[in-house]
Amino acid sequence: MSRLAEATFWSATFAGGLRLATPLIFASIGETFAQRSGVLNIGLEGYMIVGALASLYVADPTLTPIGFVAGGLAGLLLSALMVLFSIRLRANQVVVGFGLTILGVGITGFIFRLTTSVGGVDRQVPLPGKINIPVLSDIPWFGRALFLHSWYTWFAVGLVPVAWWISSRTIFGLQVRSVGEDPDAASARGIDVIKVRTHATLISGLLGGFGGAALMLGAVGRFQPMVTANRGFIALIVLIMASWKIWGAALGAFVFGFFEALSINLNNVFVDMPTELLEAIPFVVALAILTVGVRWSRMPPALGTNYEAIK
Amino acid sequence: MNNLERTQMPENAAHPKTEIEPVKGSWRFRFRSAVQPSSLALGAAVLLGGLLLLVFGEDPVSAYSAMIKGSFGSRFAIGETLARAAPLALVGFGAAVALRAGLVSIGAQGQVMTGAIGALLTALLFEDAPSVIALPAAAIGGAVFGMAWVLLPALLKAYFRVNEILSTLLFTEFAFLLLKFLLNDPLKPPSAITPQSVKFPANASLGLIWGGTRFHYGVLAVPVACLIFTWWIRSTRGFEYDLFGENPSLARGLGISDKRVIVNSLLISGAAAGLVGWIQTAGLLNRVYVQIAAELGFFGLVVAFLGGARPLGVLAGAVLFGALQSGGLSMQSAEGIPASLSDIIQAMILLGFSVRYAPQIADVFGRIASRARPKGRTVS
Repeated sequence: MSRLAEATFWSATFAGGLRLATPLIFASIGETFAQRSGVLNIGLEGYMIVGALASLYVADPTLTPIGFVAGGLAGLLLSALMVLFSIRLRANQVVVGFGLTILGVGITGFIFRLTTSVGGVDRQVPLPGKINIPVLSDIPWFGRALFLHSWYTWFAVGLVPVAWWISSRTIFGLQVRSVGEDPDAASARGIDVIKVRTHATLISGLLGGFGGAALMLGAVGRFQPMVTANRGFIALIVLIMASWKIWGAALGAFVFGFFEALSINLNNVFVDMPTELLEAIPFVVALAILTVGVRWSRMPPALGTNYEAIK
Repeated sequence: MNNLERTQMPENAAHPKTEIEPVKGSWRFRFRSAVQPSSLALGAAVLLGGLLLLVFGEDPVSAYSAMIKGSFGSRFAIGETLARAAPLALVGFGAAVALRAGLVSIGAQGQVMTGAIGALLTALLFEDAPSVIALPAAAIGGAVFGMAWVLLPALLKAYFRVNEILSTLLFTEFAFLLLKFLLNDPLKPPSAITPQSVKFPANASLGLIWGGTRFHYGVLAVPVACLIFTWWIRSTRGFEYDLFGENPSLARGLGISDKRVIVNSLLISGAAAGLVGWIQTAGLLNRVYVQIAAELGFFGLVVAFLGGARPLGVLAGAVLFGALQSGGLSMQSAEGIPASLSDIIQAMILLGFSVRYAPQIADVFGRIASRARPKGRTVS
């Protein structure tokens, strides 16, 4: 119990939270683009899992950065199907999203089983070392929590301001948001709704794939079926809490990661308590966020609707 | 699936007004809107799956023949297919009731788990009672626990507009953790090593219809549920719920309480999923395992999508998916090709089917159909 009063406990939990949140930051930022453009992208779970497998299979014989890129490309490829079915052919976005999640899980399970021996021990990557920022990480209390992370985490954190800048300060970002607000008005203003939505969805595929790759190469190191453990759906919850804003999405991802790390670390403190009760903490938090979040968040009005260009 | 049709089929886009089109609700309409696209989707999925097998250097012909043999090739295989189709169909009926009211509940997974726990606990309570009492009691226990697990998401949806897809998904996580806890300690028999429950009491068990297969009496719940669902669609209450799914503001104007529709339709879907937990425990496995719900919640919802949220459609979808899954597993053991192939095929069927109302595709269908069958009734 007294360990809860120690600073090291909280700084370790904070650091672990940031590490666990890394895949979720990628995924929820990508999803923000798609949903702001009006595309309800439920296939995110699928993008993440193909990203995870592809990154492992490429990183194993080559280098991890190449694997990371390959993961993103795999997610991009799957999101191209979302573009084809939902945006071009105007099929129901929820149905296609579920289809892509099942497809992602199925295809990764298929390839993994065909190409590895039992248990998949022959496909493994070592987890990355942490990049130490010299002076800052020596600051007592929070130095190690804030400034000692793998480059995946640095990349994810660095991506946040860039994504924010793109979303709120560029023409493309404005187009994305206008298309999700009112596609008819945007179209009347000369914006190609289909094209903008296509690009936004592909961005979410790429970042979803990066998320899966960051999970695989940065945290897990080996593939198993359902390795993404519904993180794609958690990202959807994060977006509601974030009111579909980039900074909020990153923060929400961190909050979820923090509670996940907390539940793991508390396990060592309360040894007698059933593990399952502690494991439920992040999901209870997610439910609370979901319930409270709908009060303050404002959904893009065109979210989930298909758009047909008037000829 | 009225709600989906509404979003997918702009009145002016699918066909020009002069197009000869079968009357909605007629058998020809059903054929063209359901049977035709789903068989095309199945065909395309099988072809693409075969291509995938070729890419990985496997022989598609032997794979598919092992799959067919494993789903319909023998008495055992048919029993296996039906035993796998039954839970899909039951979850599908429940999901269809919710879908018709415009709600997508993917939490059936968790409700199957709690339903199984509920059925087991009730059966243990009635361990000494005669089967006439213990058996239905276990069924009711399963249904009630399934409903209990969807109650909070339903209330949150009705009163706070909390998205039901995401809240039921979180409740699946809770159910899984609860199940893991129970099977690791309180319900675990002392002799067991892996997490599992004590044996389901014999007086509440469902026997086998065909000895030597896994075709058990619990499967008979499906035709009963199918009849109830058919009645539901035609009942006044069911019509109100459809109306709400189709046009919530109209339904509200007619004095239909949206809170009641949301809560009740989700509770019905929860009860159906809970019953699945019951038949899986009392009929198929005789114990509760951590994996008891497998991917039932997800695929049950998919079956409801595919079946257009209609009784026969859901039934057909469940048999198709049950066959693919049992065929896939037996292909895995016979040919060493991963059973995930059937997941891939199922996903591609869903994707192919999802475009049935896509205008470009409908145009092609329309042209083919009108060339083949020039006569028909004109819609005014």
